[in-house]
Amino acid sequence: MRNNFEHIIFKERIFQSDIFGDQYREYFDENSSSAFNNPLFEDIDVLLNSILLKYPNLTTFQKDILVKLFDAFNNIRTQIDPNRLQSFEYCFNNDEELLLYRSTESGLTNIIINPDECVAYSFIGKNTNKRILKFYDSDSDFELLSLYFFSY
Amino acid sequence: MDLKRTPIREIIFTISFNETVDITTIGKFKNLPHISSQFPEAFQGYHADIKEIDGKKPRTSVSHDGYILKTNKIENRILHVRGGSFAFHKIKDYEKFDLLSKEFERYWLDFEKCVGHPLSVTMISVRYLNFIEKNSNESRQDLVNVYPSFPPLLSDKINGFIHLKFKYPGNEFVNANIVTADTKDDIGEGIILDIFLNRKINNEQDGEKIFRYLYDLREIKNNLFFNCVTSHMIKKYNQ
Repeated sequence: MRNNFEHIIFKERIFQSDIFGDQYREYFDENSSSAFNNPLFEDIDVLLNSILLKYPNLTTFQKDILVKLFDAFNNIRTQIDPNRLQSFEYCFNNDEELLLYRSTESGLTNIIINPDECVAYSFIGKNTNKRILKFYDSDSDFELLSLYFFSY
Repeated sequence: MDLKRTPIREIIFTISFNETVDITTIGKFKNLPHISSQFPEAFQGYHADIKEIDGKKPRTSVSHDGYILKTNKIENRILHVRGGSFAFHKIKDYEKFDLLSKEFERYWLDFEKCVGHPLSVTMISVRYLNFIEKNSNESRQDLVNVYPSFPPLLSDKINGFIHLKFKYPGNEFVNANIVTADTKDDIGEGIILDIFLNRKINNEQDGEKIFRYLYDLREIKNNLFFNCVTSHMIKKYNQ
């Protein structure tokens, strides 16, 4: 399943205007009956909830890690630069691991959330022999992990 | 081509960079004597989050979104500095691109001095927000070439908003966004024509090259503007 951050970045950018920001907010106000807008606009929390609802059998550890990752995504959006966020895909594999992954021109980057207290980050280069594999636990720096995930 | 009256209401230049600058360093920039005197109003952005999951005790967190620095109401300038981006706004009155870009470059160099080394720039953006006045005899089509159309039953009930995103023809590194939206401003009914351009850059640290990209975007912005407005609009703003 694809998770498109482009809409979130666009929304963040369009509200950047000091003069017309409020006008744009009115357009995207769900309660406004006269707004002609695009229903694709989503918030990061809505994306998190959609994954939690799609995979009700995630373990408590997997849910906790997912919440920490999405907190980190949100911090990147608000404190660093929304343009750092990149679209990614996710799936649940036969080993009951939740995978967040991005396939780019540089290679394949993954976050693997195992059901039993283990998180791994991997990068496999497409045109180079570059390989990265790192392991994390629930106390690790998830902002740094997220920045790695979006950096390729 | 120049217009006698300008529809420009806000200009925003933004640089995104690869490093994450901490809030203490951003504070150092804010406190530079010439910055704090020119931008006396400083706002810290805070974000408070409360999350509860699986019935556990809710977790709260407060995070810092950087600084928004504002000049007085005559100069009408804003700097928004975050850990990974640096934005400069000129609001209300129009000023020439050359002057504003030079000014932006000075702030950027001051910021890099506070960081202590050149930053690796990944994107530079130019955004021009225009407000085009519309009187009761004019339709959207009379003024802009980018507009949504509605069946007659709905045309008075729905505000028009349209967003186009595309790679600029002839320059695959430039992503262009055009938004048009109906609105009501203090001076009456009108249309927002919002043109924003992003130029991706591969971790460039050379300031001269970075600001050359900004000048390239200026040409593209002008070209898009004059393609998006009608001859009637040009005539109206040249009277």
